[in-house]
Amino acid sequence: MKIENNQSRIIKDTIGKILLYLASALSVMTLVVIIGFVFVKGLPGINIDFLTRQWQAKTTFINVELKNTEDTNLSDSYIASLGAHVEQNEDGYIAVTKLEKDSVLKDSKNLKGAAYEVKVDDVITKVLATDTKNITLEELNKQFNDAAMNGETLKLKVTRPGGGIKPMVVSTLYIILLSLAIAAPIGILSALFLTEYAKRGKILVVIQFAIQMLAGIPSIIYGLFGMLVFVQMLKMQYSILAGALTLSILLLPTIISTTSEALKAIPKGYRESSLGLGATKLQTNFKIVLPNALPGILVAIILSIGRIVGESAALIWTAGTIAQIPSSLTGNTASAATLTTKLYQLLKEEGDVASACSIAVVIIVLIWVLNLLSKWITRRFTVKN
Amino acid sequence: MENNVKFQVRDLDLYYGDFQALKKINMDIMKNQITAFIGPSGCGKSTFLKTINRMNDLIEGVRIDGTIHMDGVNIYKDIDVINLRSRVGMVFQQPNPFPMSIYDNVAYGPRIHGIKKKSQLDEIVEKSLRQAAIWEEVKDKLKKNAQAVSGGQQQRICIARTLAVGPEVILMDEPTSALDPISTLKIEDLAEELKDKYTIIIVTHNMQQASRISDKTAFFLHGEVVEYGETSQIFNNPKEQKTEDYITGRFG
Amino acid sequence: MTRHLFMQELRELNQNVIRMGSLLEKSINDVIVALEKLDASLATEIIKNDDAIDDLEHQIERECIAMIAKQQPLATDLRKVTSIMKIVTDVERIADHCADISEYIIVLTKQSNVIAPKNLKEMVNVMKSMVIETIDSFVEVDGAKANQVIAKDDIVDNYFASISNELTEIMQGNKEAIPACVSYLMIIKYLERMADHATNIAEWIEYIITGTMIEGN
Repeated sequence: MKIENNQSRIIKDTIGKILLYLASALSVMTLVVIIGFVFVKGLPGINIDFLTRQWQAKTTFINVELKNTEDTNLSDSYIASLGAHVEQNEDGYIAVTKLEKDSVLKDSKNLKGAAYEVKVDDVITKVLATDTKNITLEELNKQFNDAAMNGETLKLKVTRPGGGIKPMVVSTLYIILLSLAIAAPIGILSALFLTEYAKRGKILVVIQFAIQMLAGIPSIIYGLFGMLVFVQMLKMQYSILAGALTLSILLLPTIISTTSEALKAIPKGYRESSLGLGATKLQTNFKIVLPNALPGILVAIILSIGRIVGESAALIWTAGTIAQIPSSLTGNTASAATLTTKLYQLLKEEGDVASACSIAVVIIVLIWVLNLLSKWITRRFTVKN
Repeated sequence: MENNVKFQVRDLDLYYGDFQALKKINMDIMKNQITAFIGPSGCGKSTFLKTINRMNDLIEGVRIDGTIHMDGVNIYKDIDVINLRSRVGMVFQQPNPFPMSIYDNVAYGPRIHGIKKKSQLDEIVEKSLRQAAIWEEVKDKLKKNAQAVSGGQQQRICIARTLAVGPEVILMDEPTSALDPISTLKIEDLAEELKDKYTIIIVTHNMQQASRISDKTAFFLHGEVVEYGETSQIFNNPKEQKTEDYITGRFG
Repeated sequence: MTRHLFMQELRELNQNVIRMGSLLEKSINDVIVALEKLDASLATEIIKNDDAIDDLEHQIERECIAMIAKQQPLATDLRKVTSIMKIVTDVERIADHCADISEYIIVLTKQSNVIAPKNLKEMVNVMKSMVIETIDSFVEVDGAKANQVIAKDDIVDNYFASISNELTEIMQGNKEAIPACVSYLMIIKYLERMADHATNIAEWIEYIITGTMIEGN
């Protein structure tokens, strides 16, 4: 065979190759720049305090019954009547650095008489009416000792410092658990019904089409629906329950289709064998079919967690953007920002790019871990032992 | 002689929607014998096999006319399908142990039928594996995944799994078509041994296999039983030209 | 139609059996001539030709074994291949007897007082017709013809009885004639055996065609 146009073919091949390299280099570079930017801006802000502290500083007035002790000397910045080590922080206020086991600060009460436990890092900003700014430790020690001797109860103003993302982490966790608790059983059982029980026909085709459609709808529309139905109509207000319900609807299509795929991949022989041994359909489904689909279902759940962590649009108008640990499912104490909604809010309303990037780093790491986990599960269960 | 009939099939028709897959099947299947069904692909032999433990019930759009009596009882009317399938076990073409341990595979049947006691299960598992002639090979690895052993061993585990339910009849749907020759012969030997206690019906594409192990052979073509008789007669001197053409390979 | 190779092999096997049959037919014709004319040189030739039939027998047997091993024939094919293995043995036996008879023909040419038995020619002809009909029934796959052969066996048996009586009488009357008579006695025994073998072949042909084995002989 005579080979023609060899030269031109080689040139075309080379040009094609260069284009491919360029395209992939461009996309890799973009990713590196974005991740790099986020990490450079965000990493310096990440430390233990950032991860564990509340977001907003919180000020509480407390009553403390001081302990009358012989040890009245201030040694090593230890105030015996308080049972606490203190120091002056950079703003000149008195910060608690260490608490003894029997410290009276642990048994203090707020003005309503409810117990309020003072913790390390809390700052005492006022003793009675006196501002503690630039007060010396000796003065403070003396004031406490005097009060202790007189058996007085002192009113302190205590500020717990903020700047941490603990509420968002906890809220995110709550929303993940709540959403999955709602969506996973419904989704898995629906998938089981659709693959194992539903009769093949037009209705099934319509249902499957609807599920595909739902998977493609932008999440802001789910958010709109959630706000109208859960927040307003059902009067849940901005709350984690409203958010979780909205997310559940959003997750259902993914869970159903991923689980269905996992169910369909189970060899027909397993079902036939089980039924052939005299098992009922229910026994077959719960003892053979579902257990074998477990890896697929787990992957669906992990993907869902990733989706929840990354979701903002559907949550802003349903779960709100308040940085607090929710203490109920609905109502105004239930409003809670997840990491992502907080990130959105920080950028949009406060312009705090540094904090936003720090949160972004946490989210990226989280998503990365979830991806690794899902890959590991897939590999662990698909490789025959 | 009448007492030795396990299944009495009368005028059995089976339709998949509009397609008639079985036409007026009439057959007496004998107790404690091996009955082989042969015929080209799509002739209805596997379909007929599956009517015997009502596996066709699982397929949408299947309609069945006519009767099958097992020990005089109409299996489509007077017996619960769960009960039927525990009495009529089935072994499939592909060895398909569940992805669990060998022990759990064999114990699966007894467990779903409500046996929970460990000692009782142990006993059933050992007995079934022994009957399936695989006990010696797997007794030290009962906790091992059943899919980790060879195909021939898997198929014998599947047979043990079927035996564990305590059936009277074993249906085998091309049980050796996925196996190597030695494993095939082991399964054949096993079938010969089992026929003292069980009634065995085997669908096979392997004519030599049918002639080696079966007592009676039925030749199916286009959903009909062309010829049914003693295996030696079918393979030496078939009465029907179609049977002759099929088994001598002058077919199609 | 499938199994082209197998069909081809079966056809070749059939051809070889027919070839063996025609070799046998020629030997029998030669034996008849040599017996009538007491022709020693023709008899010697018959003995020599026997080797060709022996070789063909072994060849056909090997082919049959190979076919059973390779093709696992069933039904008609199985009956055909196994029957041919039996048939060629009988054909070879008949050919052997031709050679055996030829040896006695050579002996007879050297003997005096040779009186051929009266019905010998008839007996030979019946035997010959049996062999020829057997070959024909094989070629034509004709069960009726095979049955005719089986029926004729009795005729040959009767000839054997009457000729041996005749020979006994001759020997009782003429002691000089005893050696020649003994030779003839052997010859008719061989003729009777040849008819038996032809009957066997006919029975195998019957088995090929109908699948039923005829009991007894």
